[in-house]
Amino acid sequence: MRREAQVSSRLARAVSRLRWHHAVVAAVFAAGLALFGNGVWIKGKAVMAQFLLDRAFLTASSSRPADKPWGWADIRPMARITAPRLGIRNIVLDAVSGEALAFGPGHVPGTALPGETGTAVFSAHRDTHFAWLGDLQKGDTVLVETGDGTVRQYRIRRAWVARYDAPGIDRDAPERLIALTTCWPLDAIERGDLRYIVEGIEVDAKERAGQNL
Amino acid sequence: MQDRTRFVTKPVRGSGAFVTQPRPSGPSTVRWDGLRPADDFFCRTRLTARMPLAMLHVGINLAIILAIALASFAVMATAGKALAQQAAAIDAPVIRATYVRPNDMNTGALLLPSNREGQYVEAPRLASDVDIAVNGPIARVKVTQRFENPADGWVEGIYVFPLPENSAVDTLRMRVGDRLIEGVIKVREEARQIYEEAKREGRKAALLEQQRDNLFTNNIANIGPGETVIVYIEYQQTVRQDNGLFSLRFPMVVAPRYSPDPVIQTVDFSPNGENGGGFGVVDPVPDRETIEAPMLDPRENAKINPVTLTVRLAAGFPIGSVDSPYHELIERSEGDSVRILSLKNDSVPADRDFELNWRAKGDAPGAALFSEEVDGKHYLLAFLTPPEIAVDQLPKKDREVIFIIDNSGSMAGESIEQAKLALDDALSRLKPADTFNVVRFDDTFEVLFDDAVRADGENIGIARAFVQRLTADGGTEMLPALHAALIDRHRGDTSRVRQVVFITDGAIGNEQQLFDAIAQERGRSRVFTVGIGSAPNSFFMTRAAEIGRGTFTQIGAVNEVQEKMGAFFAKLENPVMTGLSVQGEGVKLSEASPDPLPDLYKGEPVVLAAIADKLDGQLAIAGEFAGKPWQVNMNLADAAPGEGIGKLWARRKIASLEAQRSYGGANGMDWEAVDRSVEAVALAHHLVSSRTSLVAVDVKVTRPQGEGVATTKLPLNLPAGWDADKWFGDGEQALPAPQKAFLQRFRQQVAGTIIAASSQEAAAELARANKAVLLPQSATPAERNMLLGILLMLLAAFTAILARAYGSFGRKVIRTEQARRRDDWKQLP
Repeated sequence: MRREAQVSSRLARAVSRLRWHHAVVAAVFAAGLALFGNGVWIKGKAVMAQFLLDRAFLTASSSRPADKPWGWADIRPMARITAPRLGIRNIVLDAVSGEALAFGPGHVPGTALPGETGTAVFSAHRDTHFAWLGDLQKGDTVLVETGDGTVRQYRIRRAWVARYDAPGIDRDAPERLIALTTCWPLDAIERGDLRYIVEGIEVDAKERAGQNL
Repeated sequence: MQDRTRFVTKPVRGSGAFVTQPRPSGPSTVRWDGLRPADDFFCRTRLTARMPLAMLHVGINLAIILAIALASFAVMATAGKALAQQAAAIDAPVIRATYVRPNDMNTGALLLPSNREGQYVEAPRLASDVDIAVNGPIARVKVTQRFENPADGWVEGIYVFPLPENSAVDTLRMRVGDRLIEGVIKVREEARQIYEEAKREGRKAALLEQQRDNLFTNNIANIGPGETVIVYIEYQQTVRQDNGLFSLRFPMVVAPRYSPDPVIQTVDFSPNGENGGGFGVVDPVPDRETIEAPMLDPRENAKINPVTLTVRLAAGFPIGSVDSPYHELIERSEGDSVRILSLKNDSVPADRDFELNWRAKGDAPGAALFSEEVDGKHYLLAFLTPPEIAVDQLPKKDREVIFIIDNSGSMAGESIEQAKLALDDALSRLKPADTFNVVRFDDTFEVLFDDAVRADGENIGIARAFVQRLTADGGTEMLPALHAALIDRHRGDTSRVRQVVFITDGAIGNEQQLFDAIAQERGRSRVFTVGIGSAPNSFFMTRAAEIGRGTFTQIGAVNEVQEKMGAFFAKLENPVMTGLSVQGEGVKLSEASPDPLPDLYKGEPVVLAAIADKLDGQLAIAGEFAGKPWQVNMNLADAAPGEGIGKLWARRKIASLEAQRSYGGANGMDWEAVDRSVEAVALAHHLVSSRTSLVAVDVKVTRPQGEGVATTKLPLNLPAGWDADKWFGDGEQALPAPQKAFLQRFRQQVAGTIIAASSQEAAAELARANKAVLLPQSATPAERNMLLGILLMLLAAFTAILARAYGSFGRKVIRTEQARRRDDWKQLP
């Protein structure tokens, strides 16, 4: 009883010492915390979602698509992109809406699927999943594994910068290509209309066999 | 006043005692009370003494915060501006009308690849001829357009034509240079293969594929330097009918295309390539020099871009009035129910679509029946307009309206604002006698009221506040919300109409489940869908409304909300005929569409397509009209023969098959099964669809090399249906002077922007490279937010420390002073 009274009186004193400038400082701090938290949340979501997506991707097989990564997800994992030299693994989704890109790279609908002739275009945020795009170099290998377990090997052959609406990607290319795209400049903090595009060409099985020999 | 030594009280370390000693530093000015002016500041009572200080330092800090915030925003703004400038530099010429994209075209056009990636230049259109035959409810449109390749090299062009809704192309013929080619319907992949092969062999070829429901593109390969291209397509559409007014539209906006504003801008675009991981950066648009294209006013345009248009209007009933709001027509009658109309010579083609409206003499026909026999099957087309009735004669039925609003993550941004506005608008239109409820859903759902409540001021207020608070977040679980909305607590209540209004973008994967739910649980409820955003899932919307016997309204932009919701509500309020069904009496009817038949609203007809096994017996449409049972019987034997009814049926059949595709979900019909069914129907009826294309390759060499193209010299073995006059009309010599002059100017000024190649292979390569992909936004505000957040937190911490330092210093001084005064008092005699 007495202890409680003591605590409450101490509390009352503490409250009575509060001044309006404390409130201002607290508000500024809270605003900062909220902004910071939002940033962390975006980053955290990007990382967490990849774990769940990875798990869901394992359920895919040639006869059925992957499970939803979480109960209410709008998206499904579609493929896994690996950059062995950089030690990067990303699960790719089947959509590129703003919501979807928060969780992982997306396959731009309407472009070829991995393994089809033409260019399969993947997009992701430069500050989360495709933060490594700038480190890719000509000649690097990128692997794309689709739901049926097929792994395709691509060799990076060029990169360029272009506006989002005229990216210079050949959707009907006669070869099997992938294009990995993200926002340009890579380290800017403002959004813009420019995109950085890295293109790779599939190394077919014959050529790979030759390499192994 | 005397000088006095000042004393300072200090705690003696470790002993707990205090010692008072003379202040070590020499006093400056000492006043009567022994205080220096600076001390005065601290020595008043705590409140008054510290207030100005607190205010001062809070003020200073606020200023610092503001300054830093402003500075960081300024930095960002300049960075943004720099980027925007870069973007604008590239952007500025894009708005110029000479560069177009296939999707922008609102009239038939031949597009040639330009020096700007993904964009095209229109080939000069030398003549257009439109021939429309209206036969009852169906219009058959034949379009012939003549273009020229103004470049001095080979090109591969695209012919685009924006089709009216619910229309279907079935014929394609072309003349490229001196070759005639005719399209045949093939399965999509096969058609593409044939086309690619012909292209490689250097033959003239064309491929007409359906891009979307109402846009198709026609690739035309191997157009030689200066060659003329004549494109002929035939399509069919249904006549629109509303309140006794029949109407028809033809896309014919022609004027503004060659009238760019002559902005000339030199662009030096050299993005910093250092971040590219060690390899160079290629500018994909190396040639950005701009051109000045000729300005055309519509009057001049009419001369160089002549359009002839004739309509044979066989309405199927005595025609009362005919008018075309934007174009002047010459009219001729052939009996009571047939009119021949044509565009007045020299009339200026307006910057509007061609529109034709007509009405019946006397009462509008209430019902009509047409039939066509294709491959031994009788295709029927029945249309039925509810009998004329004044709105106040309708039994007044109050309504129970359940609104479902989607606030899932896919609606984020402008969509949710549109949805909220639309719902707010809808709420404000309810009548006090109506009842309503609101359901919102993302991955969870929430029903606002336990049961539908009266739409009085208070309840509407609560609902509007509820809507106002919604934010778009989370996943999409539509099914539970739909179940909840379809629960009808007043099942037997016939005094009210129950309407479920579904406001969503339809970004879901389990359409089929939802369709099943609507079909099983709809009961007396009607489901209306309101599509939000520029690209809602219209398959879902249309089909859901069809199964729910409601209508689908699309709202594409915020400024459309009021108008669209107004029209939507006018409909909702006046259902004239409900519970419609169709039956064959003495005849077997199958594959009727739409299925189920919708309710009919004021002035709105139902157009029913079906297959009958024989033209005998009766077609009975029954329902409830103005609260009483009502039935119409039509004798199949009396059906008027019509053209294109089989195609109309096929078109609908394909649409309903397409709707069964389940997007990403596991519950829909198998994609391949849908594909095969669509192929079968489309091939049987010669329709271009998602699965079938028209492909054309050389059919005949029509004249030996080196001969002129005068009609008289033509061999008379043109394929059936080809009109020699249209195909081999005037050569360039015969062109009228203004057109000739225009062509010359155009060649000089625009030809440079068209990418032509010296060989056919190179032309194909260029055309391929020109098809662009749109990339999504791929930056998050995470880093900016974190940075700003840290800055703000640092500031707050800094301020707190500062305040504390000031505070403890202040308290210390006060304590000292008090102690000294106590001492002073003691020392007083």
